[in-house]
Amino acid sequence: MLATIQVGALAVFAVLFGGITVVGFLAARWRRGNLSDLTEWGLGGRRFGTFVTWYMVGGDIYTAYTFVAVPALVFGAGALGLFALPYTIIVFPIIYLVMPKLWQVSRNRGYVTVADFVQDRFDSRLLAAVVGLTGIVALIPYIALQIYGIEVSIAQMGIPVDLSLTVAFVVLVTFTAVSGLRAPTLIAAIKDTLIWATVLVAVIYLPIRLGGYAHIFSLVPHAKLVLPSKSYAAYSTLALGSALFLFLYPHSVTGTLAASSKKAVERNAALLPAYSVLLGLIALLGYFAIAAGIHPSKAYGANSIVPALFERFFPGWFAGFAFAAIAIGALVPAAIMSVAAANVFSRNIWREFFRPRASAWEQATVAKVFSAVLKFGALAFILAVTTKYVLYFQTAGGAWMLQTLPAVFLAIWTGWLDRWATLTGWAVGIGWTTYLLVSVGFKTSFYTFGFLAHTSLFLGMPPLVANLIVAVGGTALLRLLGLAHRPARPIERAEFEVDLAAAATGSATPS
Amino acid sequence: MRRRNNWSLWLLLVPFVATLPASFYNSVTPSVGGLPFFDWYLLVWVVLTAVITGLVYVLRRETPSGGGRQ
Repeated sequence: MLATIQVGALAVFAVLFGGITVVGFLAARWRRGNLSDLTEWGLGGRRFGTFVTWYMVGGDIYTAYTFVAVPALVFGAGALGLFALPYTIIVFPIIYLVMPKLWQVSRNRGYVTVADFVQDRFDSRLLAAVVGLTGIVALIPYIALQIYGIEVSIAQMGIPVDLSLTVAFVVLVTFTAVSGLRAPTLIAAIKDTLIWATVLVAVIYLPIRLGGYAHIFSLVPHAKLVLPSKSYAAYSTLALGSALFLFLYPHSVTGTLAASSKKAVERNAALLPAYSVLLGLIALLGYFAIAAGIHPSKAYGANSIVPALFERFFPGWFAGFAFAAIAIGALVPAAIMSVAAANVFSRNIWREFFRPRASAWEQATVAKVFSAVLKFGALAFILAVTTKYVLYFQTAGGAWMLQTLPAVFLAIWTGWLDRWATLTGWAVGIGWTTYLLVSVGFKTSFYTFGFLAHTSLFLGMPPLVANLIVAVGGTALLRLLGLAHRPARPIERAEFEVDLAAAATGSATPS
Repeated sequence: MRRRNNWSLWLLLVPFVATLPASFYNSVTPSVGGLPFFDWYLLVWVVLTAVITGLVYVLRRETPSGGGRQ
């Protein structure tokens, strides 16, 4: 879009980006562990306390999605884009209900991935593999969204996009391979500082330049400040669906399992909303851009408005700072996502189906190679799919991810479901979702359902309902016929609640 | 093992009811500090949800015999 190179911005950007690259490689030495072991490479040795977990999980969920995709939707589609607020509000009660239990049972039984849990719970390698594969495939568009976020901030500085994106990409691939989860965790601390600084400056300084909040909102057409009543269902289902799928994604699970205690996980359900405040403020940048009369760029459309807004109003050096915040804010989750997907591939596909006797070294090596392959898949996705709102990359993956809800979230609360019924439910849900995504060409995540009085909904929800009906109905039927499967190693209720090793040795310390 | 205080989990439903039906808050007025009602209502609920989740955590904390700190 810009012919001129923004020298000041570029210099600051280069220094910050270079700095975190160095940190990424040095991270391998932080809290040193044997990085050719998968728990060490892929879960940081399960040693992260409340605070580290807070900013790492925050780094996981507040990404280029937040900075680029949400304001773009607010800019283009108005209040519909604010679905991100109810989404990031209700996700915390959901986290509180399932993640501490998942953490505890994973600790007791040594799970590294959510598929490990599914395998044990249902006594089914196949169900574990399909849940794992769903996570891997669903992460491709989500990682693509991150790379896209890096791309729009680079493009705003007027430097050759292909070359610089390649550099950023190589940095991402190599430091993930070398340092595993430690790299993005350590960088997440820097990233958070950059992002908080950028956002606070943006929500204070930009309104001053634009004549105050009241003036900004008076310049936004009324139709963009509220929802048309025909969009209520789309808004609510996208918010609810997003909140339900977010913690089914493998990287959210990885972030949680890397915590050092169940308490750290529970506390985080109450501490993480601090990031939602941030997200709410960033969403408003979409309105700021309307008030400032920012024109969407030819190449990136509405998705480029936040970088364009920063470039217009910030001095060059601070624009570079903000672009670095966005790019690093995309790099961290992209790394965590690919580590998480690689963990799943290595443990639940490679070891389970191809190399049962794979050594710890082999598992870790396979994971490292796979994490690189996956990032190329994401790059290919960007080239293959064009969408007006890049936000729909995340919700497309989420619509798939949602179909693992019965096998994961329901199974955390109950051992009642049968493996074949759950697998059939998954197949119905995935089949229908994929059909819908393909029929809209991945360009949007809404679909108007003729049989539901032509209501537009988040397209993952009706398949989820069908999925649940099949899983629950099928289980009831199999139980009635006495054909339901009994797992070989059923998980006791207590295994979700207390540390069995500590309880057995009587070493539980009073709280 | 002592059972945790599970009735307090119902409190977690409140944010769903308050934020999912947009018809509750689909309005520009009353605005606060220039922010439309739609926007500040949701920002307030971010804070309230953190309070509610924190409260549930405190209410359900395990009693000394129940479990351990990390």
